[in-house]
Amino acid sequence: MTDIHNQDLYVVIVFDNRYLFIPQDHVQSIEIIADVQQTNDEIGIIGWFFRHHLESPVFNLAKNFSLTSVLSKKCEYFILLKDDEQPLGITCDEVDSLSLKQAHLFLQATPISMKTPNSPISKLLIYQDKIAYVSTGNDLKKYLLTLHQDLIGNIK
Amino acid sequence: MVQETKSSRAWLLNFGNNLKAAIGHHEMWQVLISPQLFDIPCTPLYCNKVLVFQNHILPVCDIANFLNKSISTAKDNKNNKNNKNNRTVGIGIYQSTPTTPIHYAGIYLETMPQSIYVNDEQACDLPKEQADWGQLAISCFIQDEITIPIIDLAYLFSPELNNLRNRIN
Repeated sequence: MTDIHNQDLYVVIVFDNRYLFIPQDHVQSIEIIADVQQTNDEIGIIGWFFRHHLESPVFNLAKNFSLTSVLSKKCEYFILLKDDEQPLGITCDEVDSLSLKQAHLFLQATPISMKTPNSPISKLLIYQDKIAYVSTGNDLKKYLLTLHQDLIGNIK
Repeated sequence: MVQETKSSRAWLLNFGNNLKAAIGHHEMWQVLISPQLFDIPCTPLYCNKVLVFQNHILPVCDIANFLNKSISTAKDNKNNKNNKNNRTVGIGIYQSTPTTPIHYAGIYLETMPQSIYVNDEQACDLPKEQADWGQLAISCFIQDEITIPIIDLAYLFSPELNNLRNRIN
């Protein structure tokens, strides 16, 4: 098994002082925010990223996981979640890659009483004296697209 | 011959806003004063924070919010004891069944738990005015002319209750 397929490897993104862990296998690439074609007139996204004939909407999450159009001054990067048809972008202030084993980090299931049907957060962990969230690429994509559709529906 | 009344020890919990309930004496492990709490997004309002206890991430339940009787307001949260980050949290212990592992979970408390003795003669029915407790109460007793429900911690933190709440919401 190569490192690329190592389930122990995660990409950690930081936004609004929140840490979100995503399996590295589910992330296509890390890009710089300057490469986003920013838009002010589209609901729920901050802009588009174009590469290899694929158009990717770029989302910006607030600390409560709602979509916000207010881009943090610290925001320097975005990650692209893998998808054959339309990779999705999520902005972040910082991004890193780490091995859970090497960092001695242990995932814990989200407590049952905290689960909601639409939550993308499946696990939690203690990281740098805070609680970090863990989400899969698919759960995040589903969550972002649902949130985006709801936002558009509410405004219409 | 006088028959001795059997009594059991329990903890009387005060959730504020005249909300009180009891749990068995063995069901309260520790009480933490102003523990550090962490928000978890996309969670129910009554259970949207966690704390770290002995390297375990535990949910913290707000019973008043669960019963839709929360007294917290934006103004409260600014500068007084109702701010959840300054509140007391009891660490409860529960088991789904006697053969399953023990679980720990937090519950916001307004004051320190009070150790009490309860006997069978204090048993009563849950009054209609306190019907909200119905889903959590195993039974009830009278204490100082107040009806106190005994709550089922295992059910409060169970997948059954979570599924039920998610269906309703």
